[in-house]
Amino acid sequence: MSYVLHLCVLAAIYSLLVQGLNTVLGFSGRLLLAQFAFFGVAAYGAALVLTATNGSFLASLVTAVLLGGGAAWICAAVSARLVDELFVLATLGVHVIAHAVMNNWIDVTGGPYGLGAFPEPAIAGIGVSSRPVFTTIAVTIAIGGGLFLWAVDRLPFRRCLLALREDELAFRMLGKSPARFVSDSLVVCGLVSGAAGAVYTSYVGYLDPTVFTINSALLVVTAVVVGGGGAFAGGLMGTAVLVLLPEILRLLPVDSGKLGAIRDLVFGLMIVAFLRTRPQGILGRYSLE
Amino acid sequence: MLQFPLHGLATGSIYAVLALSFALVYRSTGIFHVSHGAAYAAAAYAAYLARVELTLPWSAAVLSALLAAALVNLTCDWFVYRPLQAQGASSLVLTLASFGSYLVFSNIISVFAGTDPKILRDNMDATVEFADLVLTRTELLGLGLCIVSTTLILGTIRLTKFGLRLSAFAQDEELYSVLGKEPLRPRYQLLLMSSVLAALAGLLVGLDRGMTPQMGLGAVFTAGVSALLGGANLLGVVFVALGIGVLQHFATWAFSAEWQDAITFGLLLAVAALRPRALLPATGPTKGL
Repeated sequence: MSYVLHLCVLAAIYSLLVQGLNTVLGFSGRLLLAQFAFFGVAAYGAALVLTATNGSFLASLVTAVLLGGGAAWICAAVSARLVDELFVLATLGVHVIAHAVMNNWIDVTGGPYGLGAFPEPAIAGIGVSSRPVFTTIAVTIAIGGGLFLWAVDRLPFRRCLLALREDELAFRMLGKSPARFVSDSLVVCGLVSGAAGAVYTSYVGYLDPTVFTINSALLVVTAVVVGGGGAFAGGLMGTAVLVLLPEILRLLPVDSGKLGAIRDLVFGLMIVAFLRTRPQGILGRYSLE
Repeated sequence: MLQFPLHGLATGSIYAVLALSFALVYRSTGIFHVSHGAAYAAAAYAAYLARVELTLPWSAAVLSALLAAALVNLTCDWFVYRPLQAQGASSLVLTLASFGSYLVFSNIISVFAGTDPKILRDNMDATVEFADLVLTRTELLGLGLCIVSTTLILGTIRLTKFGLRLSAFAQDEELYSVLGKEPLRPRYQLLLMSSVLAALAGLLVGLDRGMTPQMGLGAVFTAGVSALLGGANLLGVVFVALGIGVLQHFATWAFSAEWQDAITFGLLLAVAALRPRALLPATGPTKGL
């Protein structure tokens, strides 16, 4: 039972990340590599607030969401005007710099030694770290994040992003600014990734820079491609793949030290196989072409 | 006083060889070939296997490095890029697929060779002195190979009829095939030239700093930054890569080694924010060798 609850918390964190990335990669068609910078900055912020307020979960959640959004806004300021591989490299640059800060600003982040021993997260003075309670909270936040994205989905905003992805020239002809919409979609992604950061920090109770590597970010990219870019259901499918596939691979009769590499290998094969045979992903409505 | 920039140039010469090889593919096919980093790592590991594990002579080690790099690059092209380009895939899809292939190849290396760092060293720590400057033999070899390979590649492209054909192909593949020429030939010639350079860079880094299966990602990103900043002139790409090497050495001296990659990307982001037009992607008028 405890294992199932653990998977539920993981699914909650990943669904926020996958749906958040889907807003940028699936809807506006730009490959964002800085998401784990937003996620990481928010997670560290949540950890500091948790320590400073002696365990107020809500304060850490609000801080994390705002920090995630803020980090995304800064990233957008340098990258939103760029296209194709320029955007990829610029957002990667934001990730690399954020990661270097996590590793080197030892007074605040603990550097490679990490941060740990946070006070027990509590809401209104009541501890929430028991697994069933925390799972409920994590799933509630994931649903809240999903509803937020669903609401954003109903706005003309999403149609603008789709138009931008399909034909940037026509989009500009209509008097719209691609950079503004890309920037807004990054901020939406950052807010949601920030919420994921708060849940992660309170759940795991320990942070170090190895959590926020570019390889982990690539797994979320795979989940969006495989699940189906540009569709809400696709994001859920991507989350399911991201949570369940490593668990299935655990059944393989191999040395557990190699499981990480085998997981990444399978994810890489899946990206290539899906792009070649089913570019819209399992449940996507639009193909990434 | 000159010692610092000299070490920086030696590091930069490895970047320069890899950046040149990356640019040959990127500027001609437009593919942001991330798995080129896996070819570079595969070369280093193949040399390690031949030289250290099987104790074969150096010539066999060099040969196996060349074969490994060519194998990775040709496999990517056969199974990933060409089929996708035949489907009319966008640059987003090609970039995603190249990240996927990178995950596949780098993790194949991890599964077979393990993730612990390895070094290909054969009394290469011995130093050479000129006046009051000291260099290791590996650094000297790197500088020499960088000068020789840049001269050879640029000389071939600028001065020979073969090079003229390659540039024509790189500039406009469609026009090239309309003129009755087979476009696959120059494509594979460029891919093989690029594999040779990647193998040399892999050997050099294996001798100098040693190897890990994931080392290709950071290296190919540095190469990508050099290719974008260096732009339409291959010599520019080489100079930017050398400059990055020198800059990183100064950063190590002024702060710490941890900030090296942040410096590379800080440079890219500064240019992206201040003078986005100075970044020259391989699309439109800035394409070609």
